Amino acid sequence: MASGPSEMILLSAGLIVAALVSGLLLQTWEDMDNVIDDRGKHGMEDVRTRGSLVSDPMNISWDNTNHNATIYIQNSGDTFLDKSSVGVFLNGTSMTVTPAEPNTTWLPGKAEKFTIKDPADSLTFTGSKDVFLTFTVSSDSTEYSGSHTVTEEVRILGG
Amino acid sequence: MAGSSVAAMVVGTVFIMIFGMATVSLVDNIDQSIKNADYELPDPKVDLISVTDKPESTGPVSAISFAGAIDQGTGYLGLGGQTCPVSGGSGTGMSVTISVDDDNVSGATISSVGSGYTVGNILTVNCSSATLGDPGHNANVSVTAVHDKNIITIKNVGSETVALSNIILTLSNTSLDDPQGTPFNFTTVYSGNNTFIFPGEQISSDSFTLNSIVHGFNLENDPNRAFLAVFEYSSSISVDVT
Repeated sequence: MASGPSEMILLSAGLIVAALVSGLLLQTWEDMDNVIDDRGKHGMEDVRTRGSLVSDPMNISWDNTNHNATIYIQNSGDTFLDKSSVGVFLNGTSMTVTPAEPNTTWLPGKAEKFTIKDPADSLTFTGSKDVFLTFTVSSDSTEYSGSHTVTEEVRILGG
Repeated sequence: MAGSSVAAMVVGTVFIMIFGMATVSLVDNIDQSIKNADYELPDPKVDLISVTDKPESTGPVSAISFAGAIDQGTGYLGLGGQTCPVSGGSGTGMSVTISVDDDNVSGATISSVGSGYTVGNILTVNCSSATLGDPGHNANVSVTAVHDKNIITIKNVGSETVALSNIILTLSNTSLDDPQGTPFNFTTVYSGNNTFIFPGEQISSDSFTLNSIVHGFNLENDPNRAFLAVFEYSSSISVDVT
């Protein structure tokens, strides 16, 4: 039994302080937990997002009149990809990317056709030229969107 | 024991349990996060073993001969310049455009190449829907050559089973200004029962003719390079053109 009112007051005060500190700690704990959970899911979506060039990299024709070329990219990951968010750099120049079938779903394993075009209409190639082609694909997941970037050496044939 | 001490112990125990559960949850999430980072995508490895482009036993007709008087038939008056189907032989779908001298066929050119024909097939030109041998259906042409067909053979050289529908092929003709054909799925040229190719397994496509829409090359073209891509793995080989 408590020896007096002062001991009860001290006990109550101690419990209140402990509860407050515990609440704060638990909140921090939960925040950390959520962040790790989010990062894990995002990381997994990133790993599942893959694209690979399936056009023959030795023979990519560049149309010097329309300043464009056609490439095919396969969804080599394990999630649906977003065709409208594909980005391409050819020889350091950012390209406008147009999917041939914009309204269909890009399923895992499926290869899609894209027209890449120089928006400035100035890029030309004479004969064959070995350059770097960089493209980025993104998953079409709304909550955690993954992305994957590939850089490949390709031979562009001007014509 | 004093009541306040018991209460303190109970509350302390509750706090410890809450912290313990929170810690377990946190550790679980860290563990799951590590597992997510270890997630492995398929790593298929399929090689091109051979690609041929040569005349097979049957195919679309590329050349015919007209033997003149013995093949000229009768009943073709007024049908010069008309395109007529042919009957007979081992194939289907072929038609010819005829030239006529009076009542007889004097020559024929291929209008539609058909499929499944063999060199030596004798085909009867049917411009009248008459019974075989009757006027308008009694002139003959002979098949002297058929178009090349392609056969692609692939092998799974990896340790994973691979869906055939994931294998993309591209034919190219490096001697042309615009060399690259259109990528196509292996399953578009394969009619066998297999859905997958297992480690070590080798599969050949059907013998198929080129199509400008599907493959990017016309029937008579001879692509000289083949490229296979399956996810991040690729293989290429020269086409054996005969």
